[in-house]
Amino acid sequence: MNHLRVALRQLLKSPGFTIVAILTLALGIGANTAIFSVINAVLLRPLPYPDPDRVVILQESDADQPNISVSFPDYVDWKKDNHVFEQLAVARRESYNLSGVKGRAPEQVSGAIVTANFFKVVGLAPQLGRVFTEEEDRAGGPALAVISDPLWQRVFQRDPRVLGRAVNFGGQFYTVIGVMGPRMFSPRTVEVWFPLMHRATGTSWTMRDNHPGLFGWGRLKKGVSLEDANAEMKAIAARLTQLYPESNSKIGVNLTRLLENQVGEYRASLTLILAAVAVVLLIACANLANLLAARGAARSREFAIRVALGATRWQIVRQLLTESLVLALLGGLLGFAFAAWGRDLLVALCPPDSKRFQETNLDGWVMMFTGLLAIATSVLFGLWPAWTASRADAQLALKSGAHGSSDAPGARRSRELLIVAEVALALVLLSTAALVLQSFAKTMALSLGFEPQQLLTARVDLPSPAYEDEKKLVVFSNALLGKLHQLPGLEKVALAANPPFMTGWQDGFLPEGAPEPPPGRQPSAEMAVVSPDYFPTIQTPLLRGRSFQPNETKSAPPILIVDQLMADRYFPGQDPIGKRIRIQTDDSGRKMRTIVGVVPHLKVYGFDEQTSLPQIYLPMLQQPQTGLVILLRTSLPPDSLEKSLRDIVASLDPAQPVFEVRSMQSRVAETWATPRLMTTLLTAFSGLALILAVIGLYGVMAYNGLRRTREIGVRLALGARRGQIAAMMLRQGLRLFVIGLGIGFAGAIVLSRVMRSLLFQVDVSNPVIYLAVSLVLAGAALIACWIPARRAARINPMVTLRAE
Amino acid sequence: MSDPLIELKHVERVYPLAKQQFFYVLRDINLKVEEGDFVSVMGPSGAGKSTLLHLLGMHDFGWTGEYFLSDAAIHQLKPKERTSLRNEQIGFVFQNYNLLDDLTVYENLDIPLSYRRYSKSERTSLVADTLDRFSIVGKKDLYPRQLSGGQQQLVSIARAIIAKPKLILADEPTGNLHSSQADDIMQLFKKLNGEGITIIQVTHSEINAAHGNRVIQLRDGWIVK
Repeated sequence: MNHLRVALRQLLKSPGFTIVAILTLALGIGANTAIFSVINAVLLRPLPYPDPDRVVILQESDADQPNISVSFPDYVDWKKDNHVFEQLAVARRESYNLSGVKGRAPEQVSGAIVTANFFKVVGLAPQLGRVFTEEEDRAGGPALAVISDPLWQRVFQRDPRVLGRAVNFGGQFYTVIGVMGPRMFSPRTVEVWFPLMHRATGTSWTMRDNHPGLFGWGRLKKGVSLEDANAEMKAIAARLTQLYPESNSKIGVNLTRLLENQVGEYRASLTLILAAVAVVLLIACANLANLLAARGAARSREFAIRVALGATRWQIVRQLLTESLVLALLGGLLGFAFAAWGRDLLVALCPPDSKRFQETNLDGWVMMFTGLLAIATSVLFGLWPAWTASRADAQLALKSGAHGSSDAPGARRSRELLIVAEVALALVLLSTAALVLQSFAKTMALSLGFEPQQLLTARVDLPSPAYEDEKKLVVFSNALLGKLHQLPGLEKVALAANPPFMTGWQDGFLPEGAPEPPPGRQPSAEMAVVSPDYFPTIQTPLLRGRSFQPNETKSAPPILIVDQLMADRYFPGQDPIGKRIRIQTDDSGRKMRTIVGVVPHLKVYGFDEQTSLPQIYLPMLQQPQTGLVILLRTSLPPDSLEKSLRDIVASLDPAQPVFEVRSMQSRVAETWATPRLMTTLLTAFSGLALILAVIGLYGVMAYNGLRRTREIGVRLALGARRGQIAAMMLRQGLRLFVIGLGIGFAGAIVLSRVMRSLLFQVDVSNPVIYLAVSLVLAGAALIACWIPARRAARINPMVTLRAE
Repeated sequence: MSDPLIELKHVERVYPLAKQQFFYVLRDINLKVEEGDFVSVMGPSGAGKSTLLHLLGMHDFGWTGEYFLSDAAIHQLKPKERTSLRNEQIGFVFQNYNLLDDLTVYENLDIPLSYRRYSKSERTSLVADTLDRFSIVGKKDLYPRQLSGGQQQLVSIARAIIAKPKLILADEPTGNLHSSQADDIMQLFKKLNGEGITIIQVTHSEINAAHGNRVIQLRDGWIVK
């Protein structure tokens, strides 16, 4: 007998059951497929380089921070002393104004300076031309550039004559000698590479305690493990500490694989989401197993006949598993389609700054995952009902007039166990979602210390040769502010270097009179340089003292503003106004600046910033900057000012690009991307789990009611009141619910301990969360049990008993 | 004289009741059925007729005593061996036909073969032969619900003999049929018996029993005749 044909016929015979089963599976498998497609794209898919597992990123660490950039002299020693790397390079990301290309407005491009062997580390050859050699990568060497495939496409329309062409990057001409292939995207989103050693002779680079934004890139020798490499590099770092105690007393080294370096931060969140979606599928499987078991009981006569005709147990199991497999494959197919439709929605929820999230697609691996999941699912939900049904009693078939359904011994208990498991799993998932939701709500409600709404931001990087003279910078800044004030709807405008969410500059400092710290232990602060109207523009109140004044230029006494954290930490119980501070790189640490104001501490990297440095603000008129951020507070939609803003900058300097024009709110929202993804998906999946569990509970209660129709008829005929019947049925369902709740509680509490690190300011032992979740679940369970209980209580005993 | 096809020695089937009490369904059954016999088991309701049939068909394993079938000591066999022997030697006919509703006549006949070690071509050939032999070729694509009661029982008997059993066990095979259909079925049984198949039927009908060569009367679990 063709099992497949019989299976299809059986499923077509009960279209209602088949549709419900396929849809349930499609939701479960589709959700798993969608999440796996993200995990595949982000965590599993290897980087497109030869032997990508051998490429590692090296960073240093100090007493305060686990990861800091690499000191150039340390890199030179690493390169000389190590035996584990085939190649060891360093790179630093920078940005450049690309201008002078005919027919194109100036634009900002992301670039990197790299040592010549960087390309050997990555392992890719250029698709056109060549990369620079060790001989060319030296101080005083030729100004050369290797460009990326996207830049070649966008700016040069894939013209091969780009080779040999001199292109203006950041005001200096570089000769393009090569074009990398489309697979090359390291460091992230870089579009042009320049030789690094041109800069290596600068005095600051030769200082071992200077960590100028360099990252080490190494290709491990064949057969060398990451652990071996880590051990050797740590030994070298220890040797450097002994040789150079002033600069390297607390300096360590960390190695991570390139892939882990790029996406490791997402691993925990994605794993939690995958676990959540797997729980949804488990609940779906439990529901289907119950449905199939009920169907199997209804088909007991068929199986009894088959046994009487010689079927072995395995033959019956095989027939039923074929039916399950057909259901699962159809569900898998539809689930795959759901995942394909939902792909764009899912990617829109993902962190926008990671290219790998955006590369999510349903490739062969995802297809294979879906297929295997469908097969595994068919066994998961099909095996138990098939096994139960295969224990058919052949005597039943031989008995004259035997029809209808029967419950195999233990089947009811198994059905109830599945419901208990469903309730428990749903509670675990709902509690997890509630914790994450609370964490996200706390994050959102947290004050940043400034108001990101209605604030437009844009970057302008003034190129150094043209704006080398500080007077020119001041003239440009003043003219820019003057013109921006005329914009319609404008409330306030300011210029800044390193405002919140666009920062990354730390510097050492020392309050006047404080003892000189040991080498490498100088305190650091987040630095920003701001124009006089900065604080009113970002709506940060001044807590003490005053703001910067328009007449406080270089000729005025040097001043600064600090945040409350600095005041509390370094001037406890004192008035910080009038105190003096020395900044490490400010006039080589010789200049003392006087504190004139105190502002609140701001969140400058994100809501969930746990440990933060104190903040120092310098007046722009005393410290003119080439890298400017324009901040516009407006009563109009912020994005509507973009064109006017570009026009104003172009009217002052037509060669000057304006880039990263975005509302501050969108920059803030970007830092929520991962928690938002987690919250949205966990809420959706726990909602789905709740619905499935309630449907499952309802299904079992309804089936029990049907099975006990005759018994209920007899009870009613014997004088039972309808309320007593309803209560009897309700008790049965609620008993299962309470047991499931108890087990779920235990699971939820264990899980909450595990995921504590993913939560922000949430007390995982707060009983209110679990109580609220239980109430939601209890309400749904009550409805699920009440409807079949009420139906059972309405049975007409006369009709029921006559039918029997 | 050759060994009998079936021999039961001191077979008993007992259901335990509460507090060390027992209910005897079959008591000290001693029975021989020769190859080629056509035996009718009769008796009032509750006499143990169906239980005896289940026991002979190896659907029930909870009995005591000795049971020999074609020299095999069933009481000493493991469940798997009993199933294998049953598939080789026994065919069943039920009062309510018990055809599988979702399979066609052809597929219903194919089922017992699919559970045994027949090749695809052997199965096709045997089903074709059987359809021909029972003159139901024209109905091979019909479903059971499209057949009359008599036709359904005809298919049921065809299904019982398709795997060439030595023994047919029939439980009230004409119970749901009117008299002329019942007579046709009995004639068919007689013909099959003439071809060497041993038949044991449970029946309430004296007329049906008259088609066989031997009657066993059961009462309260005892063989009384």
